[in-house]
Amino acid sequence: MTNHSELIETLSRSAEPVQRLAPPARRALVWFMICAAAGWIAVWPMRLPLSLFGGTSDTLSLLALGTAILASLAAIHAALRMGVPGLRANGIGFAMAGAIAWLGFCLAEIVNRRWGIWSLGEGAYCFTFIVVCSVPMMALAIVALNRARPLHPNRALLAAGFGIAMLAAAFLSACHPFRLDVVDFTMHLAAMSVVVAMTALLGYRWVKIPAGKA
Amino acid sequence: LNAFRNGDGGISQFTPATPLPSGIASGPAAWPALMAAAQDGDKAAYRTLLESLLPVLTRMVRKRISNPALIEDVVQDTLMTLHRIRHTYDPGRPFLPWLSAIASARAIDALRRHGRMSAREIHDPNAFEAYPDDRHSEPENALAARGEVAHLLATLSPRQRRAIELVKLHDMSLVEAAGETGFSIPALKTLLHRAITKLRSVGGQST
Repeated sequence: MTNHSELIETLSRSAEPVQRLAPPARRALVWFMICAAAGWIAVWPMRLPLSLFGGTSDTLSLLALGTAILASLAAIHAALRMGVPGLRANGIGFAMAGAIAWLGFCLAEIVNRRWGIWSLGEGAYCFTFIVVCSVPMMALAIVALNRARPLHPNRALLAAGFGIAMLAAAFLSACHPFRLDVVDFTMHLAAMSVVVAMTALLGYRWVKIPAGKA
Repeated sequence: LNAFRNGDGGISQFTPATPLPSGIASGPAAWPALMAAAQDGDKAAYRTLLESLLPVLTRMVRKRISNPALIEDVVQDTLMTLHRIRHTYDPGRPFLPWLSAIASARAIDALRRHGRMSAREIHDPNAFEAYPDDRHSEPENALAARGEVAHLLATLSPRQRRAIELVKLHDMSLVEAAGETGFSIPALKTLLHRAITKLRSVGGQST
């Protein structure tokens, strides 16, 4: 018996039935809907009124909201595809394009409206909103990636964190009077960066393929 | 498994030792079906699949890595990874890209680890004797007294065990041990390092 044959014997003896992963697109859609509900429930106590269809809505706000949601879906889809060896993370390019468009719409809002550029505005509140909204979504992402165990956990977690941050930003823009100033928007970006970093740092241990034998 | 490795450590012709599940061949065309059966808990199909993958995996890893000892480690690592994430395979998709992605990721990880070790660590076998850790002498003696050293050595691969026996137990120099085994000195150093790391981890778990 060679070393390999002993290992193969051990592995084949421990081969219990496993449940196959559903296709990444279906998992992304289910994950998105559950996350949307969880994120919304998490920020419910903050009592932000849904202002999207209030007096402050305009084309820019709707475009920013739409691109943030699309970028979020694409990033989450890419993260889940990364959990399947041999599949390319197709959504990443689309997610990045969506994020750049979202950034552009937000910057256009800042330039056009000329609100008090250096005023703190609702920055601190928005920071809290994005982080609180993201916490349950992070947990759900880690659970979803833990099931798949991607070969490159860092990349998958970063993509998932990016999707979560974009979704939280979309929620915020649905509740936020679309009145961005520089400091406020910087706080949005800071919160989103924190969410991406937290997802990667907290999730790595649970998502990486554990070392050791079967 | 009849024997993948001949006396020189090379790969011999594959002949499955276990009877194949009815109606399933063992060639590459059968791999998706074998994996689907394995996902459903068919141990025989799984064994057949892993046995038939071994030469392919070794070839895949050899394309990226030249160190023979590292190739064996990566092949085993790939088999274990395949086992852990076998639920991610979709029988409706081609099998080879799935397998290739796993082997490639494991090979790259191993090369990175190896590169880090080479860059930052100095392998000094004499240091273990020159600077013994007195805190652990008593547990080690107790371990030896319980006859667990043999058990620990049994956890090593034959090549690692041989390296430890020659250098550590028979006090051979690296040059002598390399001449005895036919390994190159860097390969012997790698084997020793991995063996000692493994002994430490296994010893740590059992104490």
